[in-house]
Amino acid sequence: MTSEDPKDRFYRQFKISVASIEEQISSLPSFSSVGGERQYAVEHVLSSISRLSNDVADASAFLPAYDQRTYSDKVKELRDEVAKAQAQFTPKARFQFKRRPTDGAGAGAGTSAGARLDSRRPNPVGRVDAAAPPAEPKARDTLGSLPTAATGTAGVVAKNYNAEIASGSGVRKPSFSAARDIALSDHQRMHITLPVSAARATSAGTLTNLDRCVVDMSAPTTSGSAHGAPFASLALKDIAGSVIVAGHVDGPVHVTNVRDSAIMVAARQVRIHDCDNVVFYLHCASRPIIEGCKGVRFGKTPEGYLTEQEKKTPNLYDQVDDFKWLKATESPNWSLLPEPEAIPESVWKKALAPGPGVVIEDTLHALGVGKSSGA
Amino acid sequence: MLSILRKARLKDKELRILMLGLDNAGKTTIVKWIMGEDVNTVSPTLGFIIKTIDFDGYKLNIWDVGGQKTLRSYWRNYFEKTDALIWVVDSTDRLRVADCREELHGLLLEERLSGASLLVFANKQDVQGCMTTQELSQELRLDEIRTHRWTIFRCSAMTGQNLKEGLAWVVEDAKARLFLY
Repeated sequence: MTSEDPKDRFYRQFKISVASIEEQISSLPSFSSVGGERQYAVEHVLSSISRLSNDVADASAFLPAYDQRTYSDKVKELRDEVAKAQAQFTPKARFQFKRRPTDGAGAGAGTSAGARLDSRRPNPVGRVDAAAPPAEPKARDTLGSLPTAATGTAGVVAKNYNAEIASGSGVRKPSFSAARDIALSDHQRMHITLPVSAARATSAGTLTNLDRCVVDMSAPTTSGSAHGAPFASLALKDIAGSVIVAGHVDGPVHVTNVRDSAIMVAARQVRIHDCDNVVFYLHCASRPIIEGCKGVRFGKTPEGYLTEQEKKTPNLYDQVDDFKWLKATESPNWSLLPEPEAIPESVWKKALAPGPGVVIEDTLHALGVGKSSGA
Repeated sequence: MLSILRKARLKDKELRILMLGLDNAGKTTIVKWIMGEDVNTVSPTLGFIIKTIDFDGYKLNIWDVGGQKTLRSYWRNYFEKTDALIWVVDSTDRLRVADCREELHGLLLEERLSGASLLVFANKQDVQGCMTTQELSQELRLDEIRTHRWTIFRCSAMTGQNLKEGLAWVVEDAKARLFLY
């Protein structure tokens, strides 16, 4: 009964494995690209395939050469399918990293070697050079693998962020572990979560030209966490219909031209310019100022997003100065967010947590952005 | 006439220093640090702050005027009798370095500032990845300045790096210049 032909047994096992892997591949698109979830799923599939491939190699002892080839071909076919599935949900390559040229050639040895997204020139639409390098999922940086190289060494290895982002994973969880500063720009409908490994890059942050995005930078900027370090300063500019959880800034936040959005940040100074219909969830150690704004509302950062240190410092989020209203009477340009309208902490946590099949609009909506009253 | 006024004030060993720059450059924080006050709770400046400090036997009246767009049109009210202009730059702010250049070069055209020397403070040098003084000199086209004596100092209002050195340059320069007349 049990003395089955090993060839037949292997055949059955192989069929079961293949079926399970195929099912996993077909479910890949339903995973959310948020928080690396899809990446993990892809990796899981890939490791299943390599296990299967090893099994085939092990079975070579009792398998006829022809069968061996058939099995190997099937394994290869599976790999191709994964690659195809990955290609499907790979984003349009608008996400471009660029190594900032160290100005001044030799003399500029001390200049930052930060890998930056091209923040000055918007990428010409249709330019897809980011997709040129072949997919290479293994090159991805794993979370927490901080390079031990001392900061300030001139020869920081230039990582190919282009290849990394275009690696077909579809995960907008770029590794910043070798970057010196964070500059995200020119994105649409993306959910970007900065990993804790980005903490080394949190000296000065810049977010520009984002449309209907969700950006969560709370993890790498929380100094309480293992690797976290707050931003030294942060600039947000030209953002529409988005949710920015900017985390912690041990210095000033400079906000310019943001509309129909929600921004959560804990900072020492908050300066807001030319904003329209934006809700700020602030923890601010000094008086926030607004200039040229209308329809901006202020609430408190939910407790769960504050460090112990921040909880101890006074929050002046409600003492806003308006440069366009230097009068004793109340400025018509801003107001406090009524408590019942504030998004509670649980909703923030839930909406920002990765989950399969989350549509960006739903996340934005859950956090009070993109409701019909807006644009 | 101006020089006579200047000399008179120099006898009192008094210098009037105007501190300007874009908003968020760190002007008030610099003043706070020099005064030995807490730099962590600085709010954006709504108008202006005048501080008098004794430095090297001189009395420095530092006028710290807010840099918000709304306030920039009022800067000219403070030009009169300025002995030195301190232009503070946020070295991390690459997005607005062009604005910064325009504002600075606009100021230098002002006749009432023509007698003032220029100290550029490249502030926030404690932040990793900020622009260097070479980069800033280039971006701000400092080399094109012919009308004023100028220099650039890297500094940090958080650590206090180079702040005293910058002021020392202002005082030395004023001494040399005003005695020349």
